[in-house]
Amino acid sequence: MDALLFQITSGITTGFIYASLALALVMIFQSTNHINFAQGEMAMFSTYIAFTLVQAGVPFWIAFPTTLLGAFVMGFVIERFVLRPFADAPVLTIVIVFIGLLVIFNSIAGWIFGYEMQPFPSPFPHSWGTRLVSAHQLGIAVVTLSVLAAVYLFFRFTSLGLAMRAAAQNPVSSRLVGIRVGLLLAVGWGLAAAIGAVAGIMAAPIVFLEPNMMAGIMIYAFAAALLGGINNPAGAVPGGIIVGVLENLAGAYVVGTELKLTTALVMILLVLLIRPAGLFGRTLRTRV
Amino acid sequence: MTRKRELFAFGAPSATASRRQALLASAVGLLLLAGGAAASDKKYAPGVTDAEIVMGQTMPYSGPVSFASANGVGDMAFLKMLNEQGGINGRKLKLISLDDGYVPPKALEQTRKLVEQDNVAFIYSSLGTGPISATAKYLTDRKVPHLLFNAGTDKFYSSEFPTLVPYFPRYAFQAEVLTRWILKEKPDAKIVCLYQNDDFGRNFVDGLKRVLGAKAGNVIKEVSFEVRDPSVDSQVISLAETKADIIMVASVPARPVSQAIRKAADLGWKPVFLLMPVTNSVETVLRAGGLENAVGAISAAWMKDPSDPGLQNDPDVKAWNAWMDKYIPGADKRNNSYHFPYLKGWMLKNILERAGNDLSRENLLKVANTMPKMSLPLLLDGITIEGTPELRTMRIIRFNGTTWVPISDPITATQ
Repeated sequence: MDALLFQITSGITTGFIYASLALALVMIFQSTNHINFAQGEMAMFSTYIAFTLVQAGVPFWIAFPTTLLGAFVMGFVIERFVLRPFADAPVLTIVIVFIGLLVIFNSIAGWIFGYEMQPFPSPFPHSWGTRLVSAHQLGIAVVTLSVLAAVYLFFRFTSLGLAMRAAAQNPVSSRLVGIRVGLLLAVGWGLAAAIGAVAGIMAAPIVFLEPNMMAGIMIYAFAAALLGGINNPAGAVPGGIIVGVLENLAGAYVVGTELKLTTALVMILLVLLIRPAGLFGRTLRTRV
Repeated sequence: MTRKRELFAFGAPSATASRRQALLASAVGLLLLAGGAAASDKKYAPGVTDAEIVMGQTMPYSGPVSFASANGVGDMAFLKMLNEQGGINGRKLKLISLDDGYVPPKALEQTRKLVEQDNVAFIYSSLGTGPISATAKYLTDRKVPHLLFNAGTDKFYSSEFPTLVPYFPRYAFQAEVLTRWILKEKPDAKIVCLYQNDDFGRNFVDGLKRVLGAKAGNVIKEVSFEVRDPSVDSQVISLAETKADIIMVASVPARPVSQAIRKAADLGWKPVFLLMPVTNSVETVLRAGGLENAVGAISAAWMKDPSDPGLQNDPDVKAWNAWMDKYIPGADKRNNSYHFPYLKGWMLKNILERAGNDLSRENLLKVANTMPKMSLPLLLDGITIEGTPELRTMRIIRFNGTTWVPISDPITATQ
């Protein structure tokens, strides 16, 4: 019984990490209909920036927003200079650009920071923790939910958020009323990169910092994004938690650990086959 | 010369070749054969001249295990040092190190290029079970030595691959030495295993049970993980439920080991950690899991870890540090891929020195497999090699919170 509770809390924690990365995936999908395969590697790279700052003596709660700002600029620049030239290219071309970005980020991180695993300190005070839920596990939940709330408030109550929603839903009309659609696409990329950075920084104390740290997480985040509804940011969090808990329970009690990762892949397939919009997504109909 | 001769030999019997062409080819072939025989009087393999010995290797400079490609950088640096000291018997050493991306077919393609186009004398220390599997048969068929290869998978140590010369102790030996410690010190302990779901992990679990023999029932739970799993917390929770006394963690990457050490402590479970020699580094594995949580861990060792904080005054470690500072400045000294090249570099030096001027492939193999009894820089006190360069002797070490301390006499694997 004790073990079951631990499996569930541990699943919820990893679920929140999947959720933050899934949120970043959903952000980009919403505005461009593309899945950014390099999202995990961009998050890893941002985490290294945070790590370098902390190593240099910058207090964590200053390094954290600085990194998010850096990640935003990185995402913005990538959209403007790498993705923009392919704006009208076929989907396959875009996929190849994403895979290229993935390999480039992974190799550059290894080249600059080395491949040795680095411990990454948890920013949350130990006193928060109990035997069942550690301080970091609690902290991840708080941070992820705050990010989700911030995303919601931004899109619901700011004029920039409104303009971004308009640009994503109807680029032609938006352009006609004076919204700079291209600029907002880049802003969307920047925001996604910043959210990804949160995911990386929250994951690093658990999975440790190394260039391949996000590879496994990315698969689960993809499952989480699909399960929660690839076009609904609010769905990412329940999606992530369901994936995290199911993964643990299936591995420990049902299919065995050999098929733990496979569980995530089966979930991706099932969602795509049975309910492509996910649990909380909107079903889109295209009128001709 | 050899390569051309074989090309003609293959070309001659072709069904499309006219009789006249076939005769001509045979004649040329015979001439070349004679030339080859004359060359072999000098006892030189391809790639060897009076001034130079050319060798080749493939390394995962790109791809998932690119951290291990530091082995290639280390090999280059060691040869550079030897060359600056005048080379070996007056010959400079040249290593052609190519990227295989850790992809077995690519390793084979690059190895063929090394043998057939670059005419290397032998392959020196390519890395990884996959790439070595892919090239073993080709090198055996071609009778090209692969000296001091980097892998511990048991199948490479069989007589099926006579041109493969090991230096790394095979996994079965590592498992045997660790298990003999359990049998002697904790014969009734309940054991659980956390293992990587592939040949490496299963080799260790099987080895453990085989050596335990009648006591194999003491292994009460085995749980696997995938290298890609972001976390092994869930697995450790399942294992902690058993309240076992010993947990064996068989992993190549560091992450699962560090996570297991930390999670067990979080859960209030205090088993003895039995760690594999490839993942027991204080700096890269234990520190992330929490040094205080790893106290009492057991492992086996044959060489000193030059990054171990407790060994910094050791003369071998000082010499290694000086070598690193001179030839690979700025490198991360904790990466054990910089430790192995130094150890095996001295083995290579010994082999080439004793081969003298008979640098034929046959003689290189013969010399490599008849090492005199010797100790080498960075080997633990009491550890020697003899016969093949494979290290068969290890000592049990225990982690005291800062450093690994040998707690047993040298144990020689027998099975």
